[in-house]
Amino acid sequence: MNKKNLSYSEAVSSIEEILHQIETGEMDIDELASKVKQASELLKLCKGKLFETEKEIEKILKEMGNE
Amino acid sequence: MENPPLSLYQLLDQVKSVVKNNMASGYWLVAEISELKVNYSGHCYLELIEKETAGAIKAKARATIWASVFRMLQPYFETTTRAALSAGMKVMVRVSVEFHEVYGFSLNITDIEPSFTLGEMAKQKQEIINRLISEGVFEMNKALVLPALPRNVAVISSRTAAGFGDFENQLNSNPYGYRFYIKLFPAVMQGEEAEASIIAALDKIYEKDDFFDIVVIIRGGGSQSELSCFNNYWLAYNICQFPLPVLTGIGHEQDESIADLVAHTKLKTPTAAAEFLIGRFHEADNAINQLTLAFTESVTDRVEEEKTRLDRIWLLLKPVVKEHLSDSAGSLRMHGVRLQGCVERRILKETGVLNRWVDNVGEDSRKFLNRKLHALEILEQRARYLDPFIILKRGYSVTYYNGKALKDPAAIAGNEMIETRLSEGMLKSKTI
Repeated sequence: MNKKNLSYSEAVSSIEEILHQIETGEMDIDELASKVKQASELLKLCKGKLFETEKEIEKILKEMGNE
Repeated sequence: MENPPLSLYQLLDQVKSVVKNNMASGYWLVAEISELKVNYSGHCYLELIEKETAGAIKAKARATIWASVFRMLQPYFETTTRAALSAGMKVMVRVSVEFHEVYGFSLNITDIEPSFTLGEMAKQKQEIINRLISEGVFEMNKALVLPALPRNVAVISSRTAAGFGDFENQLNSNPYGYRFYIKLFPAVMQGEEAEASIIAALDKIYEKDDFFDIVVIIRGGGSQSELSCFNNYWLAYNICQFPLPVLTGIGHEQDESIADLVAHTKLKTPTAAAEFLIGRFHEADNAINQLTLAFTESVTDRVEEEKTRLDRIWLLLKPVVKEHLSDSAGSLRMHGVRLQGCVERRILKETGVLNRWVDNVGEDSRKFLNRKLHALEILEQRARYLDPFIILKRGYSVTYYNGKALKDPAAIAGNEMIETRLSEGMLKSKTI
């Protein structure tokens, strides 16, 4: 899946899936590094999206307050 | 022959005296006013009628209230009924029957009973209300939804009414700065013309009903006795069916007019009507503010929730990965330890085998050597028996011919040199 087009909730559920796999020990060590990297990148993506959203919302709310 | 003919005057004079002599000095009479005029000198001229139930006029008479009487009766009547004497009204009056040679028959009104009219008015009003209800229109205007922001206000009032000025000022100077668009549709607000005039104003507003949010009928100022038009059936009927909500601020203190009853909202005064509209805006304003607050709060909460979620995942991920790694490392170490153990055991085992082999090899080789030694000894012994020197010592000898051991005597001719090896030395001889 293209990361750019990944929605926030898709990203979060991917992270949670990876987490689950690691937790339950389903994860291969061969995969671990790449999966952790993927999870960390997805987290970064989510945080970025969240940050952008928050900024946008703050701006809108501020505009709303000024009216 | 009969009496000689009478002059007109003589005849009418006779009628006059008949009337005078045969009628009591006064009667209480119930009738409906069909016409009413007050002239410049203050005399009030009326026409009284009685209708059949179907509506046809059954009786009709002129009546007069002389100025001196009218000056007292008028305020008395209006104070009680809060309505002016007017056409269409049913009255109970005390009359004396008059007949004048020039002016003819008329009733001279000397007293009036306002409570009768009051009762009649109430009855009439109730009839109109019942009619509006039975026609199913009474609640129609009330059923309209008042717009949240009634900004474009169509006002029906008289241009000069103090009430309209109050209303306008109140709206325009509201403390919140809400802006209203007020458009006056002037109408006559009292008297007989009022009904048609107000209905005409409503019709004009109806043409622009898309534009306006609300209609306000205000009166304010003027006599309290001029309100009867607001009890009119057709006006009420028009208000009922008007597509915009109608507010009334007609401004009377006691009982409500039919217009008030059928209007969407009845307010006591024009000022109160203005307050109502401002309050409506203020309500909407508050609602929006509250929504804004709630919205801001819930959006902010949602973002915070997500942040917490990501942080939690992040916090969770590290130890989970570490644990997973250390688990794997642990099992690797375990493998190592196990491997080492295996190898060591294996080496030990192999060493044992080897050692046993070494031991066996020693013993076996010793045995082997001993066996060989023994065999050698036997061989030696046997060899010793075969040793030519020993044999020679026993007396045997070997004959050589040409350096070779001679085994067959036929191989040799006579007179040949042969050598014989004896135990103690060589013997040379010649054959014969």
